[in-house]
Amino acid sequence: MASVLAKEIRAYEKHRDDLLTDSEGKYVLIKADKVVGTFESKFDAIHEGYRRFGNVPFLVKKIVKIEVPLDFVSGLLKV
Amino acid sequence: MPSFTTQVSNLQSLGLVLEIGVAPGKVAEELQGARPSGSAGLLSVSAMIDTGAACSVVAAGLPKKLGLSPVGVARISTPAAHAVECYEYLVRFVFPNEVICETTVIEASLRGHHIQCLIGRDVLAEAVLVYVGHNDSFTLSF
Repeated sequence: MASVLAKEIRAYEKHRDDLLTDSEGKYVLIKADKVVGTFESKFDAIHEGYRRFGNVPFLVKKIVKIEVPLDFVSGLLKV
Repeated sequence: MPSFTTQVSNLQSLGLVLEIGVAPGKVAEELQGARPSGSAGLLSVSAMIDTGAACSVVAAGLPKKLGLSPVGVARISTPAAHAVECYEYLVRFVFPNEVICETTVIEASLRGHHIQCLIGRDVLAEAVLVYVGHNDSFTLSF
């Protein structure tokens, strides 16, 4: 999975330590291997991604030390 | 306060089910020619409000029908799997009474054939949900 955003995920991993130092808790917008910027809200980052790049894949990700998976307890997902 | 009330024939058995519209996020809609030709501007789907879902979900294949591209990746855990990666998309939910809520959803396969969307706690975080069991109805207010 995530092959469409593989470049962006690699870029996040590459810049993760710097992003944590400068912008922990914010949202980062990444397109290809370039960190475009950080934003206070997820929707601000997404809107900037659409504004700059249009309807193409880009990555918006919360900058956190430890990523906790989102939980789905009702069993309605076939995952 | 925007709100709607839905009556379900057997609320206890069926759960919090309703028909909603799913559309691209407003910013995507506003971009001239942003969506591929042939993609839908709004899809009517059967949805369920799921307090056990940390975020909202649309069925696999639905983002493609709307002509959407992913804006992120989320890791999810279910009773059967841990830290599975799913794409995230920006959408608008169009509830009854034209109540609109913009949110990000993950794309995943759903059990059963009739439910194509789960309304999760990301939406409920902005809302008041009133479950009236003796009347087989529920109200969602924003």
